[in-house]
Amino acid sequence: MQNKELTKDLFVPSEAGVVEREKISRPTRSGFQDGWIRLKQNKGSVVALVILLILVALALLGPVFSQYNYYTTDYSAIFQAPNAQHWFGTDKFGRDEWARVWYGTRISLLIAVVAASLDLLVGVTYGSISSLLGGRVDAVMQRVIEVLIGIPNLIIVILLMMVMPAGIGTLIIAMSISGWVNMARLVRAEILKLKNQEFVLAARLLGTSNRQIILKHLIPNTMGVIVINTMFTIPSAIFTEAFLSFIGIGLQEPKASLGVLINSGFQVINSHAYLLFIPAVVIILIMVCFSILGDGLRDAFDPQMRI
Amino acid sequence: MQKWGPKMSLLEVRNLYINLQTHDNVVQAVRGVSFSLEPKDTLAIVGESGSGKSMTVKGVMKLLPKSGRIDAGQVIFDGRDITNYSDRQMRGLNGSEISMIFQDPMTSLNPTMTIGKQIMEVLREHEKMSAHAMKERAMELLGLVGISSPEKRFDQYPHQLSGGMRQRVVIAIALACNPKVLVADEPTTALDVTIQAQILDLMKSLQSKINTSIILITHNLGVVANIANKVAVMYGGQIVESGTVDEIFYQTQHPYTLGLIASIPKIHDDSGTLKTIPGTPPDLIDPPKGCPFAPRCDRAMKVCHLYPPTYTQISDTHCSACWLQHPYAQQAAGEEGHHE
Amino acid sequence: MSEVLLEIKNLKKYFEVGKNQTLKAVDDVSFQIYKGETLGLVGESGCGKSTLGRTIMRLYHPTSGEVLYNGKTISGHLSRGEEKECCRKMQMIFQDPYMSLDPRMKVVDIVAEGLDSQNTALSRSEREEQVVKLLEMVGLQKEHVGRFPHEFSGGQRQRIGIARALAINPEFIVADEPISALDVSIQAQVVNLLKKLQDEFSLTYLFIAHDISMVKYISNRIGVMYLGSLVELTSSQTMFDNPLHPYTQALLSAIPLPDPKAEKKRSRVVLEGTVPSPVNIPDGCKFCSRCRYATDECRKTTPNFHEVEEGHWVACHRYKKP
Repeated sequence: MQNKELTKDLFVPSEAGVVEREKISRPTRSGFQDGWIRLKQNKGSVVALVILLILVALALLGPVFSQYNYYTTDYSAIFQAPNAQHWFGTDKFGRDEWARVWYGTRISLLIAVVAASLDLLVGVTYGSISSLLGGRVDAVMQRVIEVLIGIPNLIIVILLMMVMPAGIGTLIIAMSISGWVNMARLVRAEILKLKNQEFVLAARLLGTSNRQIILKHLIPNTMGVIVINTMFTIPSAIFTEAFLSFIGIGLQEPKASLGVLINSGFQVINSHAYLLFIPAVVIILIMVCFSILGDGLRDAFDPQMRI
Repeated sequence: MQKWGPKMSLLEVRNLYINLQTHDNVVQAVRGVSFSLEPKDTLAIVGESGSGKSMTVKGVMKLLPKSGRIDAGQVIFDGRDITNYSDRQMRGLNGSEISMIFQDPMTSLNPTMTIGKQIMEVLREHEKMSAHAMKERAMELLGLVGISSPEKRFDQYPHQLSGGMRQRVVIAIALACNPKVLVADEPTTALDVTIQAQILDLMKSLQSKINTSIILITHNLGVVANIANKVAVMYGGQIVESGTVDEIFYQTQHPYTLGLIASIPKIHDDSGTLKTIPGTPPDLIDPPKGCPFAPRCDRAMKVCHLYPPTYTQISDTHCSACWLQHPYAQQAAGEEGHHE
Repeated sequence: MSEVLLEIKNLKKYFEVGKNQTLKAVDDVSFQIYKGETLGLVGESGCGKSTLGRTIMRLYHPTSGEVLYNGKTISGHLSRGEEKECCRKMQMIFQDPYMSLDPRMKVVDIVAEGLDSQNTALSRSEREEQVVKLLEMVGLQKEHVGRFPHEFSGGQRQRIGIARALAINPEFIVADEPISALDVSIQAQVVNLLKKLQDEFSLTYLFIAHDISMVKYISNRIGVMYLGSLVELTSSQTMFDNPLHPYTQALLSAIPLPDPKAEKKRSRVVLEGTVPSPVNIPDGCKFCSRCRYATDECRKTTPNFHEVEEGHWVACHRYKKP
């Protein structure tokens, strides 16, 4: 510290500082960019994200790599263990398990994503209307939600499956009919909180219309909660589908979903465990990865974490 | 740095550096802070938010956030080097030898426990006492901090008390085991002026009664004038001036301290305008190369932007980190005066 | 100075907080604000000063009483056009510099929010030019337009909030504790900035704060509130030289001075106890539980808020009408 040369001409007044008075040295970044950077530093989330991307890619492209499709039966090759011809083996009708697993994954993901999107659409709309109108409307809408929560989910689903034809559409409707409730409550709570935030009051005082307040302030600031909640809805929808198919009221053969595959694998668990093992691993991977990613997103976008 | 003096201080902090790791850069929150605390001292650490004053004591108390860490320096308490104490070792000290009071009394009280139980909890942790003696001591403490009818308050919950009352309870808990040092981090900031006056009076009277040294962290120079006998002014992670309270207020050396004093409203002043310090404190992700205050200083010189200033000893107790105290600057000022 | 811009008549704002429990946040407050002046409103937390400010700004509906702006009633229901007109003339600066700016928006969009909503058709570059002009007015720079609020310090954010309020050329600004969350040196900056802007645009302020010493520098007159009522109102000079209400006296004497020698010699009027809960306040003077001059009269009847000297209003039984 002491080896620098101090000369007298350094001791003259300098105005050099004036321009630096309001200097900001940190880089410009929006909340989403910030969150993305933080997410990338969370190793678990990155691994989960990569695995999910691979699974999705396989679900979309997997069957293409194989010369077989999911429904053609071949009685000369039933219950084959995994081999060069049939990478995941074959089932009791000689159908190629590789094709069936990825086709099933595709169906399961499709059901889950569509169900989650419906939840999102209905939940966000319901929640925001309830919180924005407030007063009596809010009270009535909340009672409706409470009634829906009171009825066990499974009963609704089973009753619905009995009156409607079995199929993907029915499954999705059955799951969404009460699935949006959670989203609606979360969105309502978040908007109620934001509504009295000073920046929303300021916008009102500036004469910003309600529509603009919703579009410019409320929705962008609720986005985090919505995205994160969806991340948790998808695995639970996959699980519900698998459960329904497993107990036999979901999809029917020869259509495949992860639940259907696990069900048929379970029947031959003693002799051909691989038929249970492979779809089980896929479903576990999907569920665990979504949960880890959801947790990571929650941490990354938590405004409290920002320094 | 300073050598071991013949007399040992109660608490000595030497050349402390603390960094905070954010997700993509490092905040140099504390950059070479040294101070010492003698028995019966009331040391006020004054500074604006982001000056590193809270981080300094958090470093001393081992209460740094997860992202924070001491990079260099030593903390010596009562002859023991506690810089690298584990959480467990620190727990032995916290409460019984060093206590801390926080800004918001509500966060340091457990809302589901009665006041009396919370005081007894601390006593149980650090002292061997019978249940009866503990209760007696808790009552005594409540009386000591000026809570009327301690018997009634003993069984009340924090939410039944007002803010000032809660801060009194927090002080009672902090003093339960007769600590040698009491660290108060903005103890009156969350309170109203009239309550602030009560709490300050209480802290002063308690100090003379039980001989505790106090480190007071505050941004309010009025509070400092009221209670402290030694002052350290922090800016940009460094102590820019330190001295006795009279030296700081009446023989101010550093332009930042001057600006800070000038920007406090005076009740009996009719000028009608307030002096201010222009600009914003530096972001400690990328602190200025020279003096941290140089960009906002109206007496800044070329040298201020280039090199960090060294400490100049003005008296035994008073020192300041400013290039204006350098002989060259004094000469230049003298010559200018000569020309006119 | 003599023209009344804003008049508040017997304004009350009660909140129902439970069965038969009423919180009287603002209880029968009347005063006037003259054109071009700054009225400082001081009181401890929970005294209703912020509720009063927000009721004036139409963020709350008053329980009873009126607010008149330029002689026209603005409390209660207004047509859309009147409401818009109101918005254009009255603006607010908020307390918390962290919560008062939308974290997802860039500074340029925050400051331009008023311009956008007032339907002024501006091209992109005109809009940005306006914003830069506003930012420079509050001491910020062109480089700051693309940044997000969390990158700024508290004082800078507060100045962005001021720029946002100024964007639509208001006449009257309610500043709701704009300096409470800031550091001392920055507080002085913001106060000086507000004064400068007042001179430039002949603004009228209602300046709400809990720190009476800072309020003095910006206010022509100061009102002191206690538990929802105004207890004293006079010019800021008189307020400091000759405070009449015992609460004002205590408030002034509690301010710590930045002068160690004076502090040691000073004798304080230390208030005993704390502010009672504003729910279901008994009759009589609200301050009597902490007042050292309290008499039976104080405990029985509520003192009127009356003018004891020219322009010096006080609500205390010790000062009778001459």
